[in-house]
Amino acid sequence: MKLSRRGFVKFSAGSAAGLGLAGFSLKALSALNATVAEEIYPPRGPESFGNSICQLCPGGCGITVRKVGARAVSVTGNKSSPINSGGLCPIGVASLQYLYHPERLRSPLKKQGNSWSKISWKQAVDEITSRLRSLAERGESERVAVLSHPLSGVLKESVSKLLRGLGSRDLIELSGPGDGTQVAVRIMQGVTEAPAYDLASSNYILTIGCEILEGWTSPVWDMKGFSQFRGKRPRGRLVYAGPRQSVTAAKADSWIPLRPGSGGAFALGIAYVLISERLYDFEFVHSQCFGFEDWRDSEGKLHAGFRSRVLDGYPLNRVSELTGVAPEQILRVAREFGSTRPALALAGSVESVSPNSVMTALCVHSLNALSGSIDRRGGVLLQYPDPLKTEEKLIAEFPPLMTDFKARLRFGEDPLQVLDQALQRREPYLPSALLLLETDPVFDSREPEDFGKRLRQIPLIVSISSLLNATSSLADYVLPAATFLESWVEQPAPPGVPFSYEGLSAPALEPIGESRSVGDIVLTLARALAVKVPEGDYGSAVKNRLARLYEEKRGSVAGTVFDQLWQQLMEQSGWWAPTYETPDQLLQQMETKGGWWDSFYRYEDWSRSLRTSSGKFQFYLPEAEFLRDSNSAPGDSFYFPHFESPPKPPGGDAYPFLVNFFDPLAAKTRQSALPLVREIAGGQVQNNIGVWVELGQEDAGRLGVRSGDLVWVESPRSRIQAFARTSTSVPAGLVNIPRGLGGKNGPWNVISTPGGASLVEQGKANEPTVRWTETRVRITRA
Amino acid sequence: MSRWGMVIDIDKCTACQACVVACKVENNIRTPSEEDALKNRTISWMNLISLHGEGSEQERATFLPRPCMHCDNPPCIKVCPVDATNISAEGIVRQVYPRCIGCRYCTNACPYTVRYFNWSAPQWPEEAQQYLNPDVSVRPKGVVEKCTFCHHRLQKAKEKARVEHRELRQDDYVPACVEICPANAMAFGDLDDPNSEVSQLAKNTRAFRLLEELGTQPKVIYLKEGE
Amino acid sequence: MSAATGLDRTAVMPAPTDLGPDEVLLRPILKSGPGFYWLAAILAALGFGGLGAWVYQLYFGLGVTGLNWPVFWGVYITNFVFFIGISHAGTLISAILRLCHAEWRRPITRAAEVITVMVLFFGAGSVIVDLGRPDRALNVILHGQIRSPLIWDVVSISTYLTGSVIYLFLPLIPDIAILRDRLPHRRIYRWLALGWQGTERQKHILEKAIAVMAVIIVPIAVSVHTVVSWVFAMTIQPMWHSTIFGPYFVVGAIFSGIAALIVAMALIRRFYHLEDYLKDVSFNNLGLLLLVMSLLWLYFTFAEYLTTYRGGEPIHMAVFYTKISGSYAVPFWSMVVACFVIPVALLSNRKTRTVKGCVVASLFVLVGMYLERYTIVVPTLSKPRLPIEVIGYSPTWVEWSLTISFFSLFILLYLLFTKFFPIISIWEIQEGREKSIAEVTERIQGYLPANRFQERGGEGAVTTAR
Repeated sequence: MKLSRRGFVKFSAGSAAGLGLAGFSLKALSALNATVAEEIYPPRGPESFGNSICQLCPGGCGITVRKVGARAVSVTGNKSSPINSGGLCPIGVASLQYLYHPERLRSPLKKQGNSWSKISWKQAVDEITSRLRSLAERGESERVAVLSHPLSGVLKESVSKLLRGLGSRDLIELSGPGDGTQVAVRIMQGVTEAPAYDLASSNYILTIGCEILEGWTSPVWDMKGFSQFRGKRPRGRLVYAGPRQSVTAAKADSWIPLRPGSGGAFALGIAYVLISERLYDFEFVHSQCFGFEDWRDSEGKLHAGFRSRVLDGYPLNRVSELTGVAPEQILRVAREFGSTRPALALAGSVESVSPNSVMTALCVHSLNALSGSIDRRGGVLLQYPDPLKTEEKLIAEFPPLMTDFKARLRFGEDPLQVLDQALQRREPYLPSALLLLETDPVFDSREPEDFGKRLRQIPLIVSISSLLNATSSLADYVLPAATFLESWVEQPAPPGVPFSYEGLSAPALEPIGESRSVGDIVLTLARALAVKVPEGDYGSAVKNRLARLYEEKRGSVAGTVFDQLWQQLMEQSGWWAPTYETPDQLLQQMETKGGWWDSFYRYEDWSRSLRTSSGKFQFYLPEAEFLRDSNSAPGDSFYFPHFESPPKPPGGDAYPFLVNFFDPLAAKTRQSALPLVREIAGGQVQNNIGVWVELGQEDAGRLGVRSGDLVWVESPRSRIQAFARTSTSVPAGLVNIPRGLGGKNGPWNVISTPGGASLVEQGKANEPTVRWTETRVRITRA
Repeated sequence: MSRWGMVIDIDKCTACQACVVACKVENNIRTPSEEDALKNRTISWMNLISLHGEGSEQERATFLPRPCMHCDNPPCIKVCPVDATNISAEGIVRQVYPRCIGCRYCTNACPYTVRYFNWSAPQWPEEAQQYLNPDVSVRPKGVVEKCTFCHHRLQKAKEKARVEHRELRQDDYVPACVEICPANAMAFGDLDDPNSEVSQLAKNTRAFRLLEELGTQPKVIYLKEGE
Repeated sequence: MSAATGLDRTAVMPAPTDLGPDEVLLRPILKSGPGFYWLAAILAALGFGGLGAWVYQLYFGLGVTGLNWPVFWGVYITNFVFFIGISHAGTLISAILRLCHAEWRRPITRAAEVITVMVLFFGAGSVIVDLGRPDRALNVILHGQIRSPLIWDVVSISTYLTGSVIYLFLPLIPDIAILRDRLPHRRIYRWLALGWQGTERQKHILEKAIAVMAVIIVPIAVSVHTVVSWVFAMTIQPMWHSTIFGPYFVVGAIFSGIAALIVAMALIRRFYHLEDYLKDVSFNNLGLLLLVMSLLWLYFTFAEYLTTYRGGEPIHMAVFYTKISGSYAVPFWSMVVACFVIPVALLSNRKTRTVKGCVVASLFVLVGMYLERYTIVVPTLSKPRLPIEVIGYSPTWVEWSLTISFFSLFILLYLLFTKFFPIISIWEIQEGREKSIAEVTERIQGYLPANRFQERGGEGAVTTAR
C-alpha cells in the first residue's frame, strides 16, 4: 500500500474529526447511552393489599401482597398469622419471581412429537379424560398414580375421590427426607401425629446434626422460636454437634465437630453421663418409660435394659474414640444438658433408612426421655390432628405402589426414592398413568436424566404445573396451574406447630393467562370422569369445609401478636369469647385475617402422646428388626438405641475425601428456579450460581486449590464441576457438598445440571436406600 | 429532627437472609446474569457477611447482615465530585442517580464496601418487570447505588402523616429489611428520641458498631452474641 | 487591518533567512519520507482502532472491563496516574533547568514540553473513559464540590494544561516565525507567529514572559501530582491513606517523566539524525538525574513500606502482604527491579551510562513506574476491611485496547508535532551560540574568587561550563 501525502492528510483529518467526535461530542455520547440504557419506569397505580398463604414449602406462612394497580410488587409476612407473625423467610419473599417467572405457563399444552402445541382447556380435559376412560375399559385404571406434595383438606379429598373413581389408591405424597426426631417419636412413642418443638420455652437445646435454622419444620416458626429462646432471660443455650459448621452451628453457643455418622455414639455418651451421674428425670423415666431398667419377660427371660447397656457399652473414652470429641467436652455438655430444664435434644434428618441413620435419631430422642422433655413445656410436643375430620376414611390407605417398603417409609425413607425403586423394578407394577400436582420430582431426584427416563416409561403423564420445568417438559399434557397467589388456599397446621390451625386465603391476584388453580383443575377432571366431588368451585368447597369450624366452639380468628397473647391468656383461664356470630362471619374474618387457630395445648397428656403397645415411652424397639443386616449388633442389643458405625465407603485411596452432604435453606423450596433464592444459596458468598464444595485449608493447599477455583469432584459413580471454598473449619479428609442446587444455565433456568446428589451410589439392590453417608470422592482442578 | 438508625441483634439473627431478599424486591435490585455473578458484580444493598473469630481451634463464623451504615461522618460524601451522594438532615446518606457520573470514588472510599456500581444496563425478563416497585427508580447503567434506609418509605410516611394531620409515629417508617425479619432481630427508629426502641437497645452492653475506630460514626448498631 | 499588515509583510519581508548548520532542524517539517507515513498510519490505526473498544464499552457499560466489587478501579486509573506522571517530564524539568540556567537544556526543553502537553490529554482522557456516565462529565462543573479531591484534580490539571500550553507556545513563537518566513503558503504559521519580527523589544518581552511562566509552572506542576496522590491519600483506605503520598508521587512523576524524555530524545536523535544537537552529554546528564531520582524513589518507597510494616495494623498488613508475597508480588517485585535495580546498575557506572544504557534504563523505569501505579491502585481495593469474598482483578482486552490506543495516539500526536514545528528550539540554539558562551563565562567568573580567575584567564573555564 502506498499512501500519498494528500491521502495521508485526508486520513489524518478524518481521524482527528473522529477523535473530536468521540472525545468531545457529549451530546452524541448521551444519545448513544440512551439507546443502550433503555430505562425502565415501573408504572404507578392505586395501592392495595391482599393476603395469601405461602406454598413454596410446607411452612404455611401467612403473607401480605402489596399491589400497585393489578401488579403485585412485594410480599411481606401477614402480621395476623400465628405461624409467622409478620416475619417471612427469603423463599417466601422471592415468591414474586415465581408469580412473574418467564417460564409461567399460560395455556394447556399437548406434546406432539418433540414440540408443544397450545390447546384449549376443553380439548385438554376431553382428551385426558378419554384416555383415562380407555384405561378403565382395559382394566388398567387402578394403576393411575398421583404425585404431589403432602395434601390436606378439600384438595386431598378431591384427589382421593378422583383416584378412587378410577379404582386406584396410589396417592403418593413427596415429603422429602424425614426429620430424625419425627421418625424417633413415631417409633418410640407409637404415635402417628408429627411432633412439635417448643424451642421458645426451652432453656437448653442440643442439636446433633439438626439444622434448626435452615428450613427444619416451618422455617419462620423455627426462627421465631429461636429468637425467643435467645431473647429471654436467662438466655437459652444452644449447642450443635455435627461435622459441618452449618448456619445453626455458627449461631450456636458452641459447636462440637463430630466425625460424620457418629451422632448416635455422641448421644449415647451424653446418656452415659446422665445415667451415671444420675442427672436424668427419675420421675418420668420410672413412671412413663419401658425398657430402661432390666426386666423379665412373660417367659421369665431376663432382658438387659437401656441403663445397663449404656453403662456397659458407652464409657466416655470409647465414645471419644468413636466421635473424635474429647471426653471432657462430652462431660461438660452432658452436665449442662442434665442440669438445665427444660432441655431439648434434636436429631438430624434421616435422609435414607440405614441402621446408622435411624439409630442416631433413636439415640438422640432417648435423651429427651432422660431429661423428661416429652410432651412438656420446652420439650417435644405433639401436633393436634386436623380439627375438621374428612367425612370418609380416605387417606388411611397406603399407596399400593409403595407397599413393599411400608416399614421403611415409617422409618423416614424418602418417598421419591421408593417411587424410583418401583419404577426401576416395575414392581409391584408400572403405573399406567401419572398425574403430577405442582411437583418437579425430576429436578428433586438424585439423577435427573435417569429418573426422567424411568418416568417416561409411563404411557400417560399429565402435569399440572405453573412452570414448564424439568418434569412437566416430559409430560404428554401440561395444564397451567395458577400459583397460590392467584388461588384459594387452605392451609392445615404446618409441621412443628403445636396448636390447631386452619389457614384460609382468597386469591390475591387474577390468574395469569388461562391458568387455573390446582384445586379447580382437579375438580374439573373429577367431574369430567363423573366422580362425585364437592359442589361449586374450589373456593366455595374450601369455604364450605372451613365453615364447620364454627361447630368447634373454640379457638379464634388469627390476629396480631397482641391478639394472640390475649387469646392465650383467655383460653388458659377457661374463657372463650368469639368475635363472630355466624359461620359466614367466621369465614369472612378468616379471609381478612388469614385463618383460625386454637392456642390451647394440653401438656403431659400421656394417653395421647405415648401410644406404644406398652403405653409408655419405649427404649426397647423390636420393630427395628427389619433393619438388621449381617454387620448388625447381635440379639437383643439391636432393639435398643445403640451405635452402629456406618459401613466403610467403597473407593479406597483413589478417592481420598469423604463427602458430608447438606441442604441449605435455599434448597428447601418447592420451586427451585427462583433467582433470588439462588443468589443467597451460598450464604455470604456472592458467586454462587451452581454447586460448591467446602474443603479444609490444608487439603486445599495440598491440591493447589484456592477459594473460588473451579474443581472437578469425582466419585466412583459420576463427576460434577463445583466451586471450591476453603475453610479451616473443615477437617482433613472431609468435604461438604450441598445435595441439590445444580444448574448453571442462567438465573431463570428451570432445568438444572446435576448437583452434588448425583455423586452418590445407590444402595443395595432392591432397596431404595441411598448411601448419603458413604460417598468418597477425589478432587482435581478443572 | 429525627436521626434514623438501626439496631441488629446478632444473638437473635438466624442468618436466613430474608432481609437481603426483601431489600432486593423492595428496591428493584437487578438479578445478575450468571456471568455477572461469577465476576462478583451481584448487587446486594443488604448483604450477609461473616466475620471469623481468631485464636480458637476452629474458624468460627459470626454472620452479620450489613446494610449501609449511614455514618454521621461518611467518608463517601467527602469524595463525591458532583454532590451525587450527600447526607440528609435526618442522617440518611442518599444517592442521586441522575447526577452520578460513575467515577466510583465513593465506592473506593467507603470502608464498609456497601456501595455498588451498575456495570451494565439492568436486564429483567419482560414478565419479571411486573414486580418492579414504582416507588424506587430503576438505576440505569453506569451509576453507583446503595442502601437508602428505604428513604422512599419515609417520604410516603411523612406524606401520609401530613394528610392525616398528625406527627410521624414510631412505626410509620421502617425499611423493608426490618419489616421482614422473621427473628425480630432488627429494630429501626429515631436514635435521638430517648424513648425509642433503638435508642434503648443502643444502650445495651452488647452494643457495638462496625469499624468504630475509623470515626465514621455509623448509625447501624449491632448487639453481639451472648448474655 | 491585520490582514493588510500581513500582506504587507510578505511583500516587504526579505528572502527566508539562511539558518546555516541549523537548517537540519527544519528538515522533518519540510520533508517526510515513507517511514514517517508508515509509522503514522500504524499509530493511527492502533489509536483509532483502540478507540473502537471505547465505543464498545459505552454500548455495553463498564462491565466489559475486568473491574468488579470491590476492585472498582484498575488499568484506566493506573493510566491516568501514569500519564499525569509522565507529564512532569516536560514542563517541570524544562522550567527547573531554565531557572537554573543549565545551558545543556537548550536542545531538549521543547521535546520535554511537548510531552507534557500531549500526554495531559490522555491523562484526562483516561478518567473520562473510566466514568460510568461520561455523558454527564460536565456535572463536575455544574455541580462541582470543592470538598472532593477529584475536583482539586480537575482544577489543577486544567490549570496545568493551560500553563503548559502557554509555556510550550511562548518559546515556540520565534521558531514559528522562521517557518512562516519559509513556508508562506501555510497560513497557520502566520497566524501563530503573532507578528514576531525578532525585535529587541519583542525578545525582551518574550524572555520575561518565559521566565515568569517558568516560575509559575513549577508550583503548579508540583501541585498536580500532589493532588493526584491525594485522590488516594484523602481516603482512609489502607496504604492509600499516607502523608508522604504527595512528595512520593511527585518524585515518581519526575522519575518517570525523565525516563520518558530520554526515550523521546533518543528516538528523535535517531530518526531525524540530530546527533549533533542531542549530544551524548545531554543523555549523560539526564541519566545522572534519573539515577538520583531512582535513589529518591527507593527512599520514599522504603519509607512508605517500612512505616506500614512497623505499624503492623492487620488491615494494612493485609494489603502489605498481598503486594510483598501475595497476588501482587510479581508486579511489585518487577517494579522494584525495573525502578531500582536495573537503572541504578546501568546508570551508576560511567561505562554503561551511554545513550543506549540510558534508554534501556529509561524503558525499564517506564515499565516499573507503570507497575508502581498499578500496585498502588489495585491491591488496596482487593483487600477490603470487611471480610467479603474477593475474586481479584484481571484487565480485559477492552482495557488493554484503550491503553494501547492512548499510547499510540500520544506518540502519533508527538510525531505530528515534530512534523509541524521544530522539535529542537532553533532560536534558543542560536541564542546559545551567540550569547551564552559569554554569559556563562561571566557567570562562572562570578562563582570564582576574583583574583585567581583573573590570573588563569577565561578560556579553560568556558569549555567545561555546561
